[in-house]
Amino acid sequence: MPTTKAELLQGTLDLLILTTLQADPLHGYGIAQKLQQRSDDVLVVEEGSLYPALYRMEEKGWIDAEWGKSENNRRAKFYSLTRSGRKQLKEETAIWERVCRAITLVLQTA
Amino acid sequence: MQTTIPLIQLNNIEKVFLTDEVETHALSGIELEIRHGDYVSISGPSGCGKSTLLSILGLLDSPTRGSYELRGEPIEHLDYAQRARVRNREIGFIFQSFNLIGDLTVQENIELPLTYRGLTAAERKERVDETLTKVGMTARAKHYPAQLSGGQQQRVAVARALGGRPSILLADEPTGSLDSKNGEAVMALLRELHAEGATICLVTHDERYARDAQRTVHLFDGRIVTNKPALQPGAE
Amino acid sequence: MKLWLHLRRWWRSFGQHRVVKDDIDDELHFHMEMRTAENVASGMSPDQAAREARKRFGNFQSVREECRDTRGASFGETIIQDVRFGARMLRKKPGFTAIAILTLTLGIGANTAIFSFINAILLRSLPYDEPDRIVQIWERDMRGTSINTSPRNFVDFRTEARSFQGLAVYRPVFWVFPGIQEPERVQGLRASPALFSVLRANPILGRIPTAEEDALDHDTVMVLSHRLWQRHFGGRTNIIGSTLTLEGSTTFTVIGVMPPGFNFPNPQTEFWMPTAFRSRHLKDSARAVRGHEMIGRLATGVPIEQARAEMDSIVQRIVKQFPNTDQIAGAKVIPLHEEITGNFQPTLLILFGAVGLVLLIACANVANLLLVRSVTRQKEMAIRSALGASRIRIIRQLLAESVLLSLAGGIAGVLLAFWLTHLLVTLAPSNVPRLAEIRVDRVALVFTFAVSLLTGIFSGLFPAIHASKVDLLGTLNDGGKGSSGGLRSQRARSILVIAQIAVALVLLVGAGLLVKSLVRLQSVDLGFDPKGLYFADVDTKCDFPVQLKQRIEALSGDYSAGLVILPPCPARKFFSSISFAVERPPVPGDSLYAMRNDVSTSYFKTMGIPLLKGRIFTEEDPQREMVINDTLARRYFPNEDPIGKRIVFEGGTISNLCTIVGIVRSVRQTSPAKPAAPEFFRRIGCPLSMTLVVRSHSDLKTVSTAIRREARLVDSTLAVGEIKSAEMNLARTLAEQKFRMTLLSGLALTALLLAAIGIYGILAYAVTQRTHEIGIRMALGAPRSNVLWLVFRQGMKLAIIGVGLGVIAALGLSRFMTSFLFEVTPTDPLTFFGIALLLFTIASIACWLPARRATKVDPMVALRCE
Repeated sequence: MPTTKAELLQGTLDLLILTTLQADPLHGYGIAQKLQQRSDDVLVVEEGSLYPALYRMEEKGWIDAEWGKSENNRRAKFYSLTRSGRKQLKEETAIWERVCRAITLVLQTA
Repeated sequence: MQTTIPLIQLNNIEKVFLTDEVETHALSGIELEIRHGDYVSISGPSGCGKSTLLSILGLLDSPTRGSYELRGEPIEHLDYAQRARVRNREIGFIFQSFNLIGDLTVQENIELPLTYRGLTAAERKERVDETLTKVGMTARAKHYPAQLSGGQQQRVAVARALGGRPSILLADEPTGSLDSKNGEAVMALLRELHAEGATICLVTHDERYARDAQRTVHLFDGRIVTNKPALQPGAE
Repeated sequence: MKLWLHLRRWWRSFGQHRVVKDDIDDELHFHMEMRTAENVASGMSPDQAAREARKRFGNFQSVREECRDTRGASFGETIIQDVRFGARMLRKKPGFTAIAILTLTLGIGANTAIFSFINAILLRSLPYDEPDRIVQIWERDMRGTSINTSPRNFVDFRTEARSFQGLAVYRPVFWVFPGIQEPERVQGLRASPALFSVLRANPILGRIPTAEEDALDHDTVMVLSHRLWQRHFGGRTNIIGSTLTLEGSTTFTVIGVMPPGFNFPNPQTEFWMPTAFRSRHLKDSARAVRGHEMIGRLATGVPIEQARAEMDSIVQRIVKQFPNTDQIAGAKVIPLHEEITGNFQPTLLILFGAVGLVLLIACANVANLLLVRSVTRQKEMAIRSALGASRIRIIRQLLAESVLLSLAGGIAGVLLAFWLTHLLVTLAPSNVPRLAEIRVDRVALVFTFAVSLLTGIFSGLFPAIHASKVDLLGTLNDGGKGSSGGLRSQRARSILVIAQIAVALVLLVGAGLLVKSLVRLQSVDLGFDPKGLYFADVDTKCDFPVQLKQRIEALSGDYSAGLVILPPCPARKFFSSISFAVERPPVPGDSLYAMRNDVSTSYFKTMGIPLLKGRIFTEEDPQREMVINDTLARRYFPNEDPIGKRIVFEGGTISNLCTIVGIVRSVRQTSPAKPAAPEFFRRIGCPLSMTLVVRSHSDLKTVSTAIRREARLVDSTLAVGEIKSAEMNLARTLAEQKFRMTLLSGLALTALLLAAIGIYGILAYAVTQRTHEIGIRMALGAPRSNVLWLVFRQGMKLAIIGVGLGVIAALGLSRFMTSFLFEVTPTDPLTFFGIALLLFTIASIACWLPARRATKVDPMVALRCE
């Protein structure tokens, strides 16, 4: 597998973001919050690094962005999954699960 | 956390040129590590592979074999556009022949690498002013390179390299086209920058200047013959 | 898909990059504020909360930069940078810039001018309401030729056809208007009143004829053109309702004035009157008495095919019902626009193709110049690349330059086009349709802009891609001149030059074929001597032309005069042939056609047409004797003596048999390009219009003065029309050929010039690049002739390949010109050979100049400079 460390990390971040967007459109801060809650505060990324990832994914057409009003009535940009984003999420999840199974297997046999 | 990863890590780098079916080994078995804040000089007789090594370090050229990690990331698989991007963000070049663009003013030359990023005009201006001040060329901002002396041109080139806030400055014989007085001034500027924390890699065949560095690497016939902390002028 | 996404983003960000940037900042600040607020909510002090938020966020500045980068947010801004820098680079090299812009100006200007023609003639719709619903309708004979219609048939069409909102017939008429200073013979139209509703044309003053005025004794009303109203009546509005007595006897009432642009069916028509049909024209026996053209407006929702089918079936019904009186095959229904412009369309398309090729050559020249420059700018590109410019960015920057060049060329081209269009309109033959409407309009400007943009991209893309492939190492390290890059570009440039030569050859061959055709046409034996021959259209009161003819003959000097209905060679739209039968055992399926022309006895002598056999009818003959031309004799009486044969015409009876009494030599009647047709002549009676033919050694002015003076003496209320020499008539007939030839030759020579500059440029540059090599050769003792040949050979090799490819292309393309050629085959070997030779000559001059310069290289200087 030619995946480098950086790509792996980046890919994982993308996967996490896509997962959080599965249900409803969220703004960037919302995504960060959800990530933190979901992972029981274990996964803490530098929150800034979310944004370049979001822009990159928007560029790739996986997510769509729209300006709207936040819960406290401020102008905020909301991201939502596109069709190709859902497909990507499915693929990435499958890969991820395979990798996890493999790792678990290795750990168990060790 | 970054302190544990070297800025640049070369492992067993080899460079072979194919000319008329004859293989010329320009570099072989190069192992080199450059850390943040280092001042490394690469020296050796002409034809020893200094410039080839610097080109590889600067992502202007790729090694035939071996691995090159920048901040722990391998760069072999990067495509042309990604390399351009890395050069733009991480590396500041200073050439022997200055390589300023004659049709651009001093200011525009320094601005050039910044225009390849998403900076606003105001932000670019700020950076240009800042670096111009640093190299003491503020008064010449609107001049064209041809209106400057060699030493001044090289100072502009240094400013251009600094403007992008690179991780490392690669200087290829920066004094080669200068008289000794101007050469000394440029070297003093590099020393100063290093003192402020810049990482510098200097290629020179001039032993005097090589000694400016904390560490000197001697190349001969494409191989590293010595790689040791330099004797500081005062420390003898 | 991906490209589309990119384009959309670019588009969105273009021109509003500031907004995008603010959006990014907004978004990031929103995040920080939310985090801070939450921190405060969890009990931190505001200061502490903000610090904590910043810490968790990471490097704000670099995040912002990275976002913008992904977004391409600064696209608009970088474009502006590229353009600004491009402009400066162009200013710095004024010589290069001037040559490039000049080349593009020529190419784009010529394109705009030709496009203005195409736009005005072919693209712009006719100046009527819903013009695409107006159709021209012809009857069609057995051979498929369009023929006009008769009043009797028209009445049937009008009552039976359901496909039309309206149908109208018309025919030209001439009346002499008294005029302010002297009488003037003016062309007008007798037309069904429905003409105006078919065209949906309204007067600016007064009214148009009513349907009731389409009757005898009511048809004496007249609508004036705006021009005639101004010229003869000083634009007086009280003209409406006033009466006008013309030619001393007929009184008309002026009822209206049309707006300035209304000139149906041609600009020469200056008044319109209703046409009333006499009862004898409405008899079934008069179905073949034609002379009327017909237009109609299709009824709503009726497709043209349906109208065509309906008209065809009506014609067939008529033919079936009256087999003896009319022999037509069907009808033609053609959109009016096509009818007006159809003949000229092939010429325009050929010219448009040619002018497009010239632009291609111009593009190639500019591309060549840019390639040369890209070699000298390799270092700049390498520096940019080392500093992190992506290839796209470099290409974009270079494209900005070439597009700037082409836009400058476009602006200058528009100025050139204004002048050129004006010039071409003056040069154009008067029968070019819609000539008055031709100008550089907004559509043409949009076209020019688009062409300029495309030209810039087209000429710049290849050099830009080429330049973006930077050899970083070789160029940045000193002394590296990137010789390999130079070689690469040399090859690219060679290909461009070969293409230029090939294209130039194609154009030159086209022009050469036209020139040869025209020369052939001009030296054709017409059957009469046009020198010293003059024609004047005379009016129709029978005794007027006859008396005028007699007065001219009586003039002292060398005057001779004759009368004829159809004089040869002013190209007429119609020469209706009439079928006839010879009094002899009929041959089944033997249909005989000939042109009928009536002349005075003196006509043959005046024209210089020799009598070959028999005699000419006398002035007293009651139109029972006829003279035929030798074409008719050869075609229809191949093995017998036609003299004494008796002939009956279509629709005629035994009682009006004519006897052939003589044979004259044939004359090219319709045009110099068409061989003489079978023709017979009878003594002229009293036709609707005729032409006075005068032969004299005097010049046009003297002859005109004499004719007009004599005409006034015969009847002061009448006047003759325009008096033209036969040579003028011929020139007018050939005007279209000449126009086409002049334009194509001009374009071909431009192409030749550009190609020559191209080949010169590449060699001159090669010499400067090879100075060092040449110096070594000379230092080693190479004679000058050797060096000369070295360079010369390099250029001529390109010329030979280019000519070879061009000949192949021309062989393939020239057949499209077949319809324009006269007695020249599209693959005429002499033309091809001559043009190839011309190109070689020009190419060798272009090669010789730089080659000679190469021999002047001083070996010492050349070797030192390296």
